[in-house]
Amino acid sequence: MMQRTQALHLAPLLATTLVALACEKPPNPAAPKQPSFVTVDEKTDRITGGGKLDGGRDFATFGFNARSDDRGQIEWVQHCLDGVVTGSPTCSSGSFTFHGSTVGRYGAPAEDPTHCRAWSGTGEAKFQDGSTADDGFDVAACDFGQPGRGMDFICFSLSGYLRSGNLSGGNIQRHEGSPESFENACATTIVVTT
Amino acid sequence: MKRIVTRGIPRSLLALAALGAISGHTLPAGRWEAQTSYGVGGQGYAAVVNLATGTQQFAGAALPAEGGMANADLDNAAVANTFTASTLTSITTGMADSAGASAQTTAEAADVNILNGLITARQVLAVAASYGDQQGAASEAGGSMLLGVVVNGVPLAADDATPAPNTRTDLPGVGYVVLNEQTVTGDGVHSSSMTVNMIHVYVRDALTGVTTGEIVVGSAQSAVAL
Repeated sequence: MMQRTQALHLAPLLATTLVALACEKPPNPAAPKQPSFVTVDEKTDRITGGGKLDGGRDFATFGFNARSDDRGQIEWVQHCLDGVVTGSPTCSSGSFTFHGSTVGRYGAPAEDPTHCRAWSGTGEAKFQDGSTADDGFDVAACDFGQPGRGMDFICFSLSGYLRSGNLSGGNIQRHEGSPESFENACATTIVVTT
Repeated sequence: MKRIVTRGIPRSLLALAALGAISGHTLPAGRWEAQTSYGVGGQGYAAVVNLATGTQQFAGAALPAEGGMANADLDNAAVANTFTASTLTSITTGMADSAGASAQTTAEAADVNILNGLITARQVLAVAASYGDQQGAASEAGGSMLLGVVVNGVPLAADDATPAPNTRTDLPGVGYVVLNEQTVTGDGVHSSSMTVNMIHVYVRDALTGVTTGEIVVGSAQSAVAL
């Protein structure tokens, strides 16, 4: 009898659930989701980050993952909303997207080995007119705390292009390890803010 | 080498697992044994058009389970009479270790045109960042921007003025739009996540008021669980 009573009480709930499932809209991919879970490799020094540098009509967005075992990648998007600006250190070639898929050298720069990492590699730049160009790149990135906005530092350099400064959005996170020393064109631009 | 020891499953992960079960998203069983106490998640879409006729995603990138980076680029996107844009990009990065976790996502598009000029924008950029360690967890949307936005023929006050979070404007005959839509979840101690949708159009049935579709441009998500 008790079981029958419980079943009767559950019936409306079950019906409501079935109706809710039947009426469910197709999932919106832009809706909030729960995070996935990761395993951690504590042996390898790594640095990850992403966000925005500067603002207005001349800024960059980026994301990277670089490791001391010479794996990683970087995406750098230079925005020049006023098009090509002759003489500009950042917009003389207009907007472009660079994807670096190799990490040739990686290490801790002498300027701040505690907070910063520098690495170099090769990749391809794609410009607004559809043209592409292979190029080598240098990066230096520093994790000065959280939030990264206004604190963390990044420098990205290509042939004839160098942009550096503190983040205007996003975050950079250094993951503990024991890298070798390494210097590149960007390492000398590091501004220690702590 | 520091060894990570997980003494039982953190409450935040249990809560997130429960959320996943409710929403129909279940965690692979094997992951529970291998995971550390920290986790990250990230996802970006330059644009999503979700109407009764189906869902189309443009330049979508999801952070791999082991962390790292994912990105997607698209020169142009178009859905007839609904949406056009150029230079669509999403980048998501993140990783967790024994000291903490960080995830960050950018999603952007240029020359955006929604519903035949009902909403236009020169540049759309969503930035979501979440981070946490033993001191707690937090998220933010700093750096997100809308440039040159015009809604129903009315430009924003200034060309480069990004509207305040969750600014809602009615769209007669269509529904409404939320600009700079920000959703933060988590307890700030064991978990934190951020979803930023820079332009989120809710298409509603004129008679019933029920939402029948969505158009989202610049959608960035980030999450950490400790």
